[in-house]
Amino acid sequence: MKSSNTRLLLLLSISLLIISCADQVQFSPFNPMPDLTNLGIENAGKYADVLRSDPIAMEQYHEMLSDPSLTMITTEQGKTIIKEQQYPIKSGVAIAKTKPWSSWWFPAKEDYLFADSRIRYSSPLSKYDAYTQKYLDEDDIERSSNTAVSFERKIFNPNALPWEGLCDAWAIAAIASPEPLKSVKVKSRMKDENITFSVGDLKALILKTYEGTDDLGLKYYGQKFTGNFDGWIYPDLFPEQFHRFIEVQLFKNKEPFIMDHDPGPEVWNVPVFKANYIIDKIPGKPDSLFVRTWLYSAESVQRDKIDFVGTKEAVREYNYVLEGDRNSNGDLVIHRGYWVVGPDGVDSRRDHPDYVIRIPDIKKLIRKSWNPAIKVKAVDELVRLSGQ
Amino acid sequence: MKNSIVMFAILFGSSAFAGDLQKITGSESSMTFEDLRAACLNPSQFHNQVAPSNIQISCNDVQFKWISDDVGALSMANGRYIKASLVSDKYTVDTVGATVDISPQVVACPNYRQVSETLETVRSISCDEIVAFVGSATDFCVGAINSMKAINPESIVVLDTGETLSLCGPTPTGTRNTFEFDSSN
Repeated sequence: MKSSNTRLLLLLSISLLIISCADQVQFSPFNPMPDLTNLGIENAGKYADVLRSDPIAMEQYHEMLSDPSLTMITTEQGKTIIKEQQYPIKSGVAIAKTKPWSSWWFPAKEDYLFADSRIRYSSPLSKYDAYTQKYLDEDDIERSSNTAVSFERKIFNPNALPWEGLCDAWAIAAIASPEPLKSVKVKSRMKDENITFSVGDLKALILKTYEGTDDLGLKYYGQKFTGNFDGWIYPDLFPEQFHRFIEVQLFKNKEPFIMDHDPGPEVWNVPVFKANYIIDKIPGKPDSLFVRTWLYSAESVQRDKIDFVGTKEAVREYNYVLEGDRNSNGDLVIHRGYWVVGPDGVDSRRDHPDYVIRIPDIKKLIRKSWNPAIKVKAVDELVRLSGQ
Repeated sequence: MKNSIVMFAILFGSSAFAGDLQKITGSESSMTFEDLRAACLNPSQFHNQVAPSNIQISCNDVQFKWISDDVGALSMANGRYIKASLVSDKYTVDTVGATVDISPQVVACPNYRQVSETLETVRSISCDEIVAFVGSATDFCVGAINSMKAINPESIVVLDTGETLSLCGPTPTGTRNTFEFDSSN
């Protein structure tokens, strides 16, 4: 009887040990390497991240994979080196010195910017015209060809693509410009009447002054995916480039950046200001590591929250494998990586950043609106009057 | 007390999807999660030739919780009463009694402050996943939020709501600190 109890206890202990070991089993990500025979150009683009570990494929697709934008980060900043240490490695949360603000993104197919649907001078641009135009009478604002409203009306396209809008301008402005916190009441220059610019109006005008920002003041990393031969590599931004960029931009420099979070042809830019990650070993692959990275960005708000002040924060998860070689110290020097589906089903093969943008020097940004009537100086004056 | 609100919004866009139904929740056009599932299964039912693509689900979770704040101190009045009786062979003096000052008793008591814990995560989701998922969009979001919180608690934004709750209360008044003179000894 005693012996039977002991056996039972032993069995129970072994079972518990198995259960507890099972809990600690490391996630083993699936390597999506395709069949290399008859791969075809389309699939080569789709699997470019994993193909780079195959010398024959690298040779075959060398020309397309040699686009310098694909490896610009590591070319500039060197490669990620991960020191051998206790795994999993949990980073702290890297936070940028500047916290970007949220805004409505003003879709191009909506006439919100210039349509006075309710009362006269209710749209941001008609208010702006009333404020800035010195010599026109009220009706001229509608008729004149050189007002902000008339220009916007002329270029308005109600059939614009659903994703077209000012998200790119917002993502830059949210980093580079202070947020307007209050509405401002000013006198019209034509007549002595009050015009109130709400926070949403001020944000609309600020965004307009960033829509034509000179690319010289922005540094792009990654090949913009267009789906054609100008940008055919879907898994770019490659994971090792992405990881290195985060290390330098947020963990080292504490600077926010802009990310097109849509890997396809659409552009959905958001300003990113925080990150953290967990790195873990992969069973049976000593020179590969599995990484889960979380990026935190300001998000755009809906139109009914247009006067929102502050930062609506959202987090996106990215899962990838980093591969490298050991250096003489035994540290892993990362050469490449590939996107994977994470343990919670987050599919980073399908969903990962297309490219990221750094602003090397905010003071050197050259702002511009495509609308010739909108002047940076006048908008900044309004924002200053709002108490910012 | 704990309140939890999970909200979701789904966005998708595709040139093949005509662009008319880009937003499921919002000011333009509305669809339910079930509608989207149906559109994935049978695009023609929604006047489209191909299933929607580039679908993103945004899950927003707000929880309100009470957390322990600085421990408060509650002062409770104590009472002390002294009686004196003198007896000799000739006389008996009536017993006299008097209250004597005594320090109140200070005890620890809990204070709480309310915080909001917010987490918003945006995930890409395919038609295959939507079709395969059993449950509502809220169910999906609860799963996504819970797994995110478990692996990455740093993703939760904690803010004070300004609400406080003190269980210290006023000084108890029912404490007996005066004594009826008891002449029976």
